[in-house]
Amino acid sequence: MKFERLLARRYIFSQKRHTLLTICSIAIAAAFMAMVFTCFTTVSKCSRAVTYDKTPYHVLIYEITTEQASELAKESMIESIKLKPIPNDIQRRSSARIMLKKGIKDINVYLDELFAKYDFGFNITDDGKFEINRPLMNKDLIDDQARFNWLTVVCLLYIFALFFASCLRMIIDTAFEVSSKEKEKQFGVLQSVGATPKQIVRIITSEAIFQCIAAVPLGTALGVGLSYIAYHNVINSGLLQELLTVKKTEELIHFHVSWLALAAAASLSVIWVLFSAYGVGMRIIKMSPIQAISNRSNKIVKVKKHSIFGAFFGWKGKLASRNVRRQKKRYIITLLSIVVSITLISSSSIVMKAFTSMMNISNIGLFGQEDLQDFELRLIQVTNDKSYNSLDDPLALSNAVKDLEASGYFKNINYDYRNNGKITNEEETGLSGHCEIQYLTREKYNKFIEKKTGISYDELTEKGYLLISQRNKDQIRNEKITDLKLELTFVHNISDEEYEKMSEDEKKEVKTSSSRINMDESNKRRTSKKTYEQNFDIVTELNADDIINPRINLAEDTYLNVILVSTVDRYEKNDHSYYYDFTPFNYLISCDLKDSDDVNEALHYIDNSHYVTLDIDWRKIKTEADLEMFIIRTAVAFLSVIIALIAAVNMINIITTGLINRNSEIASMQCVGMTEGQLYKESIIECLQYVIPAAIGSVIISTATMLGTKAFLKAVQLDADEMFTYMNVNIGTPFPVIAVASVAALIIAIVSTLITLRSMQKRGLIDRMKMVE
Amino acid sequence: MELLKIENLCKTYGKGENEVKALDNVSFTVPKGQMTAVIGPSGSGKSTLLHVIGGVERPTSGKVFLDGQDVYAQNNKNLAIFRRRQVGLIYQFYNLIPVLSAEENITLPSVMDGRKPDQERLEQLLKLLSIEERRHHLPSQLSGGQQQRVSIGRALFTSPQIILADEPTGNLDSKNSAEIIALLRQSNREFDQTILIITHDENIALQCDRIITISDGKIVRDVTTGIK
Repeated sequence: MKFERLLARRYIFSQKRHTLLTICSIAIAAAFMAMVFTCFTTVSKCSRAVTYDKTPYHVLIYEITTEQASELAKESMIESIKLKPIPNDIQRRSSARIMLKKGIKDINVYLDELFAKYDFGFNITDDGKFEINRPLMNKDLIDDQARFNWLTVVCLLYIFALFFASCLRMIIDTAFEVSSKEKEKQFGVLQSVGATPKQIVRIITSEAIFQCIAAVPLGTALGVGLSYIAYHNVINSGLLQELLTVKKTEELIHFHVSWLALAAAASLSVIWVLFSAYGVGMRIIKMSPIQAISNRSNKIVKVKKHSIFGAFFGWKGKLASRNVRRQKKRYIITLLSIVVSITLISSSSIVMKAFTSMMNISNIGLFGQEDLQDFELRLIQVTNDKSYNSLDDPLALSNAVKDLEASGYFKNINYDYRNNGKITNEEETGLSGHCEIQYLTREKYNKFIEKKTGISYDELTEKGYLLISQRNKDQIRNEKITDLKLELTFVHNISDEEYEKMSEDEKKEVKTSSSRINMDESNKRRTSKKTYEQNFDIVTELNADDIINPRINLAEDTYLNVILVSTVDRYEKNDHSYYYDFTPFNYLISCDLKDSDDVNEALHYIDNSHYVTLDIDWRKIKTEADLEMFIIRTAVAFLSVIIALIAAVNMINIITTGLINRNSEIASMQCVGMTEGQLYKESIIECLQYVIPAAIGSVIISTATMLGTKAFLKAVQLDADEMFTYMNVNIGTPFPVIAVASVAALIIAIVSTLITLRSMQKRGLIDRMKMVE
Repeated sequence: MELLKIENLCKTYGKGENEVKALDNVSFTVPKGQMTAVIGPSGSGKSTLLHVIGGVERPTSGKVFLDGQDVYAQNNKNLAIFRRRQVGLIYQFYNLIPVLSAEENITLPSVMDGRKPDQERLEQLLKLLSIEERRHHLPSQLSGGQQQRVSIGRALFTSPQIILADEPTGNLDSKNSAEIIALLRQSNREFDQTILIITHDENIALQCDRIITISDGKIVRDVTTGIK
């Protein structure tokens, strides 16, 4: 073993370029593995910290006596119990936050036994008496299910890592192939002098181990460094602080490095490298020593007279074709690695685009895409206390809006009034069915309607309504509609006094039901239906196609069949009287936060408001979505960088080694009369031989994947075209990315070729002809 | 005493219409201590014959016996050990290991065997080959003649049964050529070393005890010069 190690060390130091490229290859592989494991560790630990911060218990028992808690604390599987007294509890009970130790088989069985043992008076099926914090239990691996879940996650992680490691293996294989090819002759000499095949393989694997000693720690450090940069980017994005607050982010979110995980990553890298080296060694010893020495194969290879590149580029193309195919296996491996890299990069970009579209939370409004605002608030119904708000007030929304404005926390407060009715003047107008009535704010009207109608907000406020129908333009032009009569039906609230005054017949018409808005059983209402006809003055009519958002479908006999539009000002000044004492259909208000620092005060205001309640906190949802997108984008970006590095290092290795090996041959051609310019052109054509087939291969694979996806979606009865539109992707989506990646690959190839050729030109022609590296 | 025996040796390359018969039913024997020259035109099969005898290329058919042992009855591992201990190969283009010094190249077979090199033998050879001052130099720092001497030293170090030299002077000037042949001759005389040399040079051939002429893979002439 001593002479094998001696030779391996000597080879490493004598072939500096090969050694450097091989170390780079191994380092990249190790960096990737370290990055995957480190990011996983950091996310797991931070996720655990956040979960614990929100719910610091494995099990929460809502009511427990001090005596029960003391007895429970003696249980071997219970790590700690924190009691929180229940306010005003006569029995002086507390709620107990229990932390468990690892090693429980089944939490349900365990708790059931505990409840029985300490006479809690309930069992595992009594949901309302206790709570199991499954997320924290999973993270702390408390029971078998948690451990199983963890194992599943780890297995998926390893499968993902192994998949990419297989791609990385290509680059390591190539690096060893190239390096060993250079020494093939020497290995032949060693065998002829008496080295056994085992000794040859040991030389190669010893070389690999020595290179790993430098490359794996370097790569691991690089991977940890890249992970830290990614972590830092996420922190600096500010999104976590939006979700958790600045203080909590500082307390809970930290960068974590698991030495065990790094050791696993490093070991995997080393094992992969040894596999590669062993494979290369086994290939070399298959040749006879003389074949290795004389670089002669027993295979008779036919020389191709014609080639595609020869047809396009003449003799330079023909020469480039033959040069590149000298080492067919190496050419194919390099080509495959470039194809895989370009395809992976374009796939990542498609996934990102689809994800971005799907995560793009926005409001599909009736007239167009509306920006989502921070909060969506809902009117509170207080039926009996009319001093604040009531469903019986048609101006309830505007009262709520005034209150929000007065608070000082909100801006861009948007609301509209809506109602609906049945068209009664069908013969006059030719319209039938239901009609929705919308009263828009100035901002919304000016954004979506004004330019299409030429009628200003103030003019419409003064004059009446826009009619939007599905009549065609000729009908609209020739058969003008000046007014629309609608049958409006109201569910009229009846107070207790009014009910007492009613006749028996009238009382029969009265219904008693829960609140329409919040279905509050304690707030029952008495209502009666009233129907009457109202006339609406039409200022102008528009065809729905000209004004309605194309993504909204209008259908007959729904409220969207015919639409009347007017202004909030008109409603609030006068037309609210059309609706008597009944609040219009819409009771949603959207608004933005004036100052993001006041978010807690604003939410507190909403909590304590008598007018509104929080329906949806879009700000939080958007922030969470932005954070997810940011993390995914960061991960994909780093992955793309590593993939690109893999292909680039591979290609540079192959191209530069191929040129240097042919130094003598190139010098001979120059002696015969080849100019430098012709040499550079021929070399660039060789680069095209890698990049063009790789680009074509990527296009084919991407197209096949997209078509396959479409076919799959159709097979599972999904509308493939609609899904593709929704995800904002189509068959041609990958092409620009493939083009850019291919151009980048070509530039890298050309630059490395030109640098190598330039350095070769520094020596004289005769010296180069005699030279053997 | 018969050291080397070749029986009906055949070696073909390629298949079908591309088949090339490098050796065609070659048989001969070489007694111990004989210095034999193998001559013939280019492509006649001389190098192939040498490589087959040396255990670096398996024959298509036929047998090679060295000191009564069937060379190709061994597995690959034992064949390598056989080459290490029983055969000394010298090539036209030296084929030294570029990362090992002259001394290390010479002692390489012994090191492969896991044995500590015999220092006395090493000094003897370095002196014989006149490369004592260059013992720590890498091959790239030696002249052609010096490299070939190192190559001879490597071949002689383990005192093998037979030395096989494939055009050992092919890449050298006349002065160095003469010196190399003289060294081989000295090894033959002093140590009764059996040597088989491939050469184009008639003068070198005439210095040997026997001349075998090969053409188209067959022995066409086998002449004892009677010099010894």
